[in-house]
Order: sequence, then structure tokens, then C-alpha cells
Amino acid sequence: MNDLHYLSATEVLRAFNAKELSPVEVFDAVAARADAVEPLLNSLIERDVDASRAQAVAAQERYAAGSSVGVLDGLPVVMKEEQPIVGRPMSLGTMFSDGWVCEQTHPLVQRTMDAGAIVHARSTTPEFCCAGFTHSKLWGITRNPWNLDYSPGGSSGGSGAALAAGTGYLASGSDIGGSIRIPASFCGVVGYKAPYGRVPAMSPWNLDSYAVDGAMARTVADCALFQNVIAGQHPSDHVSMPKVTIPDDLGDVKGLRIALAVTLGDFPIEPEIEANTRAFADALRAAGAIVNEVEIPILLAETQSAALAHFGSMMGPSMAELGPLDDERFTDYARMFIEWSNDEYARIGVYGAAQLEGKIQMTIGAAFDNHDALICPTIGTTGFVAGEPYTENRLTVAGREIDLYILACQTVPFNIASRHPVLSVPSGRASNGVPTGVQVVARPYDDVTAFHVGAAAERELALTTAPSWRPAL
Amino acid sequence: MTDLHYLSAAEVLQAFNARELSPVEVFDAVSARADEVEPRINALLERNVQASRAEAVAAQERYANGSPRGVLDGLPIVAKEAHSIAGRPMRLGSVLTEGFVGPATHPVIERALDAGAIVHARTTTPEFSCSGFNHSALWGETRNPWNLEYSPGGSSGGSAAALASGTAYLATGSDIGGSIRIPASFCGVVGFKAPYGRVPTLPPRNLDTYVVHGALARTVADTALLHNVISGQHRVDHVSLPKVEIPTELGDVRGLKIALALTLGDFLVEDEVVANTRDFAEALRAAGAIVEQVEIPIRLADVQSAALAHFGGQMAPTLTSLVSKDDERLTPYTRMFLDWSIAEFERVGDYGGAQLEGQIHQTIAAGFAEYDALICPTIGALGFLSGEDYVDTRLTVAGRELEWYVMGCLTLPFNIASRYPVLSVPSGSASNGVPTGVQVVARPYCDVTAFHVGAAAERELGLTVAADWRPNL
Repeated sequence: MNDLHYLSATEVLRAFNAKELSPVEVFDAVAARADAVEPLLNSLIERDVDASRAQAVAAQERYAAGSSVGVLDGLPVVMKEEQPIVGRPMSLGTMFSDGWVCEQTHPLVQRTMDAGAIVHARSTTPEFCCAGFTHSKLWGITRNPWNLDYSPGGSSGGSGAALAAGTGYLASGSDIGGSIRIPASFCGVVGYKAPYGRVPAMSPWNLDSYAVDGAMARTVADCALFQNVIAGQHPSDHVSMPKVTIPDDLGDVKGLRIALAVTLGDFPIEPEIEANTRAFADALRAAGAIVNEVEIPILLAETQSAALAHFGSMMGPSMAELGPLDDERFTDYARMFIEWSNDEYARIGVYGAAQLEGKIQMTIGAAFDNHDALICPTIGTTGFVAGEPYTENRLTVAGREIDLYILACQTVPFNIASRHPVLSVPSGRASNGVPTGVQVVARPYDDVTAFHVGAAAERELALTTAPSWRPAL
Repeated sequence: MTDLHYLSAAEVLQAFNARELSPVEVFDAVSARADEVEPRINALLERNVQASRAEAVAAQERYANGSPRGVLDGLPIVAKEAHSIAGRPMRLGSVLTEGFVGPATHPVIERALDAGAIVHARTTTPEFSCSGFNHSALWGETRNPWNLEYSPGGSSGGSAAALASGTAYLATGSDIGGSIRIPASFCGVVGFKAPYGRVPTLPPRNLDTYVVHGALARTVADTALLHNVISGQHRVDHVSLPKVEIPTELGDVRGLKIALALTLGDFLVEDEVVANTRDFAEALRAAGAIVEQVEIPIRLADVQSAALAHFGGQMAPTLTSLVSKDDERLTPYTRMFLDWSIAEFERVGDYGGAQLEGQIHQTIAAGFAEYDALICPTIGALGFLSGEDYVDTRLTVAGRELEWYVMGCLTLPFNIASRYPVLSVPSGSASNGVPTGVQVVARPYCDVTAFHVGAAAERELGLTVAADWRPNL
């Protein structure tokens, strides 16, 4: 079989159960692929081929004995390095991390391992996962498989790149401002930012209502498969919520009312992205949904202010406590993150942010009075240049120079309105070869609808299921 | 029929539907009772007998036509004044709020009204609902119907005093540190602090995870009735959670494992409260539950620090957006609340507070590892003296002087660990005649279990259902 490494997780697992494929041959294919492409991409860390292959052998024996341990048994996956695995290094992409070791295993990772998956590598991030791209002093530059001059996005950029490159069937991410959806979009894969609390997290980050851990995959069905493994209450996270199971049978949107917000307020959007978003809307119409264009009058400036102040309350201080701002171990972008967020936090505080957040939540909420779901671009720009920190250079999107490059992404509003489930699904590619994505947003806690809409668009567009949907690596 | 005003809401509504009682005769009984006891209790505001009686007449006609408006049609209830009603005064117990008018109707009130309830009065609170007792410069002292020398507790003190004195069948409250459970306990009634988000509220305070709005009533079943009316997602509150219906059939606890934590760490608890809590545990054993004493080693000092820092970051700015914190017309207890909370926030910060909260969560969660529910006293003290503000005088509990009288209550840990449902249920009375209460805490989001346990204890104890469970007024 050709391109084993690009099969879907669902196909691989079906073939394992049918004894048409063995975990060892699949692992060998993925490991060979990683050997071939990693020198170009730099998305994986802590590969231990011998240990992982031994796990594949054990899985193969379990399948032979008809006793697989879980729904992901023998499947090679990658986990974002930010999610700790007990006893393993904890680096967070920072030069400060010399000697740091994980003291516990993240509930998401634990559930993935308990389901039988083989974590054959961990994936790169920017320093402290505080950026929308993926490069760091510690790990260097991770590149976008579709165009090596560009970043895969971030902060779950290693995960997005690994999926696009065929070095993992599923990958984990986390998202506090777009860090699952941005790399999913730039890498042409699917990423799910569940409602806050749906996927358990670790203390004290489980108390940050912007922060969500979650699933990334190459197809909507694979993403649902993974989400169903990791979602649901966990005793260590008192905020974590009961599981909502995503059904196998996805994609019926007949009669569903969907709002299309091309710019989501005043976010700048490149014409190529608008075109792909409209194609996505047409695909949903073809699938039987009623799509209406709407205005959601949120203001980019208010989104920026609320989010920066919010980041200044917990995330900024967690970074700043490591050393003085002029410590040369900090990257420029981490320094900027600390400074900007601290300034805005000092200016408006958590209560000031809450007032802005409440307004943004209600403005988005009003769109759902007459609609079951909302679609908008994931990112307004066609790419972040690999290695560029956007500290000195400002990003221009659709002819407009923006203060903070991250606001080229329309992701932050749904960290503010964090109970909306948001699935980022590929919508096409820009002329530079970099994929584009659409956010499918459902009502608060209505996870299932987001997956139905995403699956319908994926089926009708038929982009990612085509053999041509492969980066030329 | 004697004592109409002390029937349960369920009995009254059943009698309305069976045409055995009419809304007008019930309203007249409640109104007469209020005329009689209010001069001593001072729990009610904004009574408008004529308008309320007209509503009762209209309800009577609907029942006569067989078309009641909703499940509470014609039932006289009271609403905490902090639950705004559009166009009505919003004084928040402060002399500084002259001319303030409710900007919108709170979702809890909207739903109670839609269900047909008659809000025949609003209820007193302390200034800005920032204390555990119930007196203010604007409204004076509200007294405990069981012993007029004592406070009903606060901040939903008017609501609880109204229930205990028979001037309402149901009442609304809100709880950011115990403000539903404290008055429920001191007044010998039932109060439910739902998991954060279960009951919708207005932005931006909906983003404060300590804040919960909810139901108070004289019985567990009545509390469930009102909770079922007011809970569930609402469009104005983005974080509001899907409804979990409390069943009508309550009280089966056979085989349930319940942890008994008499002091919940190092909280101070009077012997009389311990004895009544043990009786409560015995009642649950008699109902078939397995009750085991446990230690939950949270520290009062950590709880106080985390909570004050939280209030300083989120509640204090709400107040100082309305009034100057140095205004001498503020009550001394409000000034103390602002000074202490702002100082602790400046010391600990949001990130430090989240770390403390995380430790408390983990400790409580460990207590639940083997149990379906936890019971502990609601309050360790036997009463707060009426009119005492505990600014210059310190409260002594079980022989130890407390720095902050609020820590005489065991309620704050469950505003910190806010996803636990907590039902305060009467456990007996102290020798001063003031009732005592027990908090029934179920696992995060497991609302139904809390009601089953509370109903079982209520049934087995047989206290509140007895004809002598009436204050001597």
C-alpha cells in the first residue's frame, strides 16, 4: 500500500481490526516518513524509535490475540510538548528549561495513551506557547510542509506540521488565542477548540477560561475520534465538564441555518481567503444548509484589549517570574508578550476585561438567535513568514498594517467567548500554496453541530479527501 | 385551613390545580402574615399589595379556565433586591445609590415571572451584598425569625427570613461566598448553590466564577421546583450551562458513599453544630447511605487569602465603579471588605490566587475520590448578632477568635471550587434557637445527587416537616 502514512486514523484502525494492516508496518511507514521529512520541517522532538517500535509490536500481538487495549491501539500519534508526560523533559521551547522534568502526565495525554495510542514523538512549539508561529531559541524554526518559507502557525505548530507531513495520524494541541486553529488552518488540517472545560486541563491553567486543550487530525472524522477519547470530566480538573460524544455519522446539515461572517466585525481579510470562505459557504448550501451573510459588529481593538489584559492576569506573570525581562534567554516575542499583556492588565484589570468580554460574548451570541452555527475565516492572512517574530516588522493584512500580528487571526474572539465549540476546517489554498481554513462555530456547548457542519463542508468541498491534498515534500 | 402561609410551594400549587385553594386566598394569607411579622423582621421591600393581589386574581381566573401560565402560576414569592427588575429601583442596600434603576430584568426573575409566580416583594440585603449578615444604613436591620437578637445571615438574608417567617413560598438568592447558604442555614430553610453557570446571570458579573444565583425554599422539593424553573442556558449569559432537570422523586441514597468532614480542614465548628451534623450523618445512614468520616486538609488561611484576592480583583472593582471606596457614607463593613480585598489582591494577584485555588481544588477533589457526596456544616458559629458588623469586634468560634467573621462559615471553599453543587439543608437548632445547617456537596455538575442526599436527610430527620418547625413570632 502506498502512502500508508497519509491514511486516515479511522482507516488505519479499521485495517488493524480487520488484520489488513499491522501496527508494526504502519509504525515503520510513519518512522520512515519522519526520517525523510523532519530535516526539512523540524516539527518533532524526543523521537525514540526503538521504544515506540516495541509498543507497536506489543499492539500487534494484542490485535492478533483479539485483545486491543482501546480504540487507538497501535496508532502512532504526536503530543504537543507543552502537555507533560511524567518523567520526560519539560522544555516549553524556552532556554530557561534546563533540567526541568514533568512531574505528572496531562489528562489528555494519559487518556490517549490509555486508549492504546503510541506517542512516538512530541511536537515543537514557540517559547511558552505564546505565539501564533512556531520558532524558538531552543528548537529553532518549524516549517510549513506546504511552503517551507512559511511557518506552520502556532503554537501547536509542530502538531499541525506533523499531520500535514504524514508523521502522525492524530496530534494534540492547546489553544489560548488560536493555537490549535491557527496551525490547523495554515497546515490544511482540522483542529478542534472545544468549549472551555470539555477537555480536562492541568491546574492552574484549567482556571484560565481562554485555555483549551484539544484534538487535531487530517479529517473531521479523525478529529471526532480523538475528541471522544480525550473529552469529559477528570477528577483532577474540577472545572472539566461532562463528555458530549460526537457521533460517527456526521454531516447532515439539511435545513440548518448558518451565519456567514466574512470579516467577523472589522478584522482584515485577504481577498483569497474571502473567496475560499465563500466557496465553503456554497459547499454548505449544496449540502442543504441555509447560509445567510451577517454582520457581527465586534471591534478588533476591543478584542485586542480584552485578550491582552486577560493574558496579563495569568500567562504573562507565569512567564515573567522566570527572570528579568532583559534576561537574554527570553525570545523577543516572549518579551513583547509579557510587556504588552502586563501593560494592558495594569490599565484595565480583570474587571475591565470582563466588561469588554461580556460585550463581545453578547455580540457574538446575538448572531445565534436566528442561526444554528456561524462560519468565518480562521485567519485573515495567507501566511506568517518562517522565523519572523513580528516584533519589529508589522504584519499587513488586506492592505492594513496591524498592531499585533496575532489579530490577523479571527481566533481570539472565541477564546473570549470560550464556551462556543469551534472546529477549524480547510477551505482551500492561497496562491502561495499555504492552505486556508474556516472556523465552524456552534452555540455554547453544542459540540455536535460544529462537527456536523465541518463534515458536510469537508465532504462537499472534497479537497482534503483528494489524493492531491498533499504537500510536495 | 390554618397556617396557609406555611404550606409548601408544592402543596399550594397542587391545591391550585385541584381547585382546593385559590391564588387570591393564598395571597391574602401571605399578605396578612407579612403585615403581622414584617414590623419585627424587616425582610421585605417594595410591597405593592394592590398590584400583587391583581396578579393573584388573574391567576385565579387562569386556573378557573384550566390554563395556568406556568408551573408557578399564582404563587407568591420574593426576589433578592440585587436581582434587578427593569425600571424598578436598584439600591443594593446602599445610601449611595439614590436614583439607581434596574437596567434589565435578571434572567432568574424573568423565568420565575414567565412561570407565573407573583413577586409580591423584594428582599433586603446588606450593602452591596458584601457581608454574611443583613443590615445596612439604607434598610436597617433584618432579624432572624427564630431569635430576633440574631441576624438571618446574609447576603440573601431577607429572602431566607421571609421563608422562615412565612411571607413567601419561594425566594431567590445569590452566593459569592456563602450568601445563599449562610442565611438558609441560620433561618432553617434550604438553599442551593448550583455549579457555576447552571443558573444564568447578567454580564459582566457572569464571568466571576465565585458568583452563583439560585433558589431558597422551605423544603428540598420546593428548592428543586424553583431551581428547575430558573436553571439552564440563557442567551444573555454566554457561560450559562445546559439544564439538568432535578427529578420529582428524590431521596434514594441506598448504597451511596458519603464523606463526612466535620471541620473541612481547620475551620472552627461549635460542638452543638458538630452534634447536629453527626445527627444528619446518622439520618443518611438510616436512609441506607454509607457515611464515613474523612479529613479534607484545606487550610482556612489559604481559603481566606484566595477568596480575598479574588474579591479584590473582581468584586471590588465592581463596587468602586459605582462608588468611591473612601466615601464616608459607605458602611464600615463595606469599607473593610474593600480595604482587605484590595490589599490581598495587591499582595497575591490573579496568578497567585489561581495557584492557591488550584491547591484547594486538588485537596477537595482528593476527598471525593471514593465518595459520591460530601457533607459538612454550613456554618461553624451559632449565630451572628443582629446589627453587629464585626469590624471592631471579632467573632469567636469554638473558643478561637477569627480574623474575619466570614470564616465562621464553611461556605467559601465551594465558591473557590465552584463547580460543585451545594445544597444547604437544616440539621437542627442550637440552644439559642437559631437553626443549624449542613452543606451537601456532590461531584462537579452532579446536581441531582445533592438533591437526593438532601431529601433523604430531610425525610429521615423529620425536622422541617414537623408542625413545630416554626419560629415563635
